[in-house]
Amino acid sequence: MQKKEWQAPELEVLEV
Amino acid sequence: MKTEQLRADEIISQKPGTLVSDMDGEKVMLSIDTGKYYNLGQTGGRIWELLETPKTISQMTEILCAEYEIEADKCMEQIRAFVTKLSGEGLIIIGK
Repeated sequence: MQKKEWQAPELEVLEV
Repeated sequence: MKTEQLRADEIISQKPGTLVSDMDGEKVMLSIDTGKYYNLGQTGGRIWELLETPKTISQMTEILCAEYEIEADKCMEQIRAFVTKLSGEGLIIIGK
């Protein structure tokens, strides 16, 4: 299985 | 203020009370408790999926290293940083 490209996990708080 | 670093062998799981939706491959989450919305992104969304059942940072590192092109040390540190943010927002349970 080909491995996926890693992206650093980020927690973004969305504005309302 | 000094905060204790999460250990790699501490059990972590999702805290009940969130609604999650997939948007273009990224996960967006609503905390019912606080009314806040979050974008977890793609990798963060995968980590959130893994936390549906209790896991340690070590276990998540092993799983994600098998799925993504990333070195284990770097992967573990980034998972730890992300999980620490989740903890800061009160979205996870640690150590139970």
